[in-house]
Amino acid sequence: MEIEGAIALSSQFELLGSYPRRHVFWAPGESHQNLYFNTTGTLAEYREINGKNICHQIIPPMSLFWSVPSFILQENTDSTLSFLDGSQVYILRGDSIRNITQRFQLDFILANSLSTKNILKYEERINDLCRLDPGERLNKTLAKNPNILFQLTRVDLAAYLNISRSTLFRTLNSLHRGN
Amino acid sequence: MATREHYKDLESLVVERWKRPNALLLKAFFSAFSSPISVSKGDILLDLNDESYGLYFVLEGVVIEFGQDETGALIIPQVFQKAGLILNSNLINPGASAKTRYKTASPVTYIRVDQSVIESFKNRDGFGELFFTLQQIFLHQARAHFIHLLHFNPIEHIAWIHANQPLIYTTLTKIQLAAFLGVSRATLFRVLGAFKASKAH
Repeated sequence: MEIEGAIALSSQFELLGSYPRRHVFWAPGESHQNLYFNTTGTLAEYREINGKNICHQIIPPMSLFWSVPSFILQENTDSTLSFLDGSQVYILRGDSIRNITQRFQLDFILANSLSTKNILKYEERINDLCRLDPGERLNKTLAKNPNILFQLTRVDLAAYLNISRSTLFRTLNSLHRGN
Repeated sequence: MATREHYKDLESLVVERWKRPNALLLKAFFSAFSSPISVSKGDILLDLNDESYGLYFVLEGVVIEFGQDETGALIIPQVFQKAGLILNSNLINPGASAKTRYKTASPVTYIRVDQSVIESFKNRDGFGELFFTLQQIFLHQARAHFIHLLHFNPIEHIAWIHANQPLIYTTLTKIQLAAFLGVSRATLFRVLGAFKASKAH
């Protein structure tokens, strides 16, 4: 039943559209109770707190994404999601998810699985921020997103890595020198 | 067996997230929690490689999640105090035994529900949604700490902990506080000096 349900869910994805670089996919206060699939581009999710607008998450090509508050917590979005380069996005609408979930008696399997992914993602980011030195944080980010240096500004990248701009520049210089 | 007095804070956290709660299921589940267990400082709730998947809810005191990096350096991903929900990663990610150790940093009182109880509830109507709600509470805790790490500079972070989680400020050692904030000990001492100076003015 679970596999049949998963197949049914994946068959319901439909093309939502093609979006250019810098297009804002969602902004704070919106409702996006859908699941999305990003094809070739990269997206960045920003949150503004205490007057600081910081990139929390980078969504790489060929990956699913969703709004934690809107899709998981059934509140409005609290972040801004924008394209770092052009991409096509597919959508699995919330209504389809509810219908298939009911038809295949999936109960909360999908919701629990996505929540687990979120928990593990936050745990990994907390560990990275507390455990890795600036060079290791940058290396890990570049290994996952090789083009990120050309897509995020240095200011945004420093904030994402939770390091100062001067530390980022020193780290980049030592990376270029191969140290 | 826990009484409503013991689990009322956890019940509030669940009910504020679960729009149409199954009252019967909730009562049965919460009643299956243990009576309050009091342990002294230094007690281990969950050890490394623990494959159990119980749930712990802190009523009093401070519990620290301890980890180590490859070099043996201390990592503190999370600290739990009153109304903190602790679950072993094996519960949400089956097969993944605990990679961190949960140890009390002060005398602690908690209630817990064992994995045998969770197993017995797994096939009951509504448990999937209840478990989803418990995951939301855990996710909220992790997300809040992540946001503090990213959006506060160390002085702002210390000031926030001092104002909102004073027990953590007074209970953790300086080494533990530095690991929790993700800064070196030298930085922590500078930050504490600046924070104390700012309070004096």
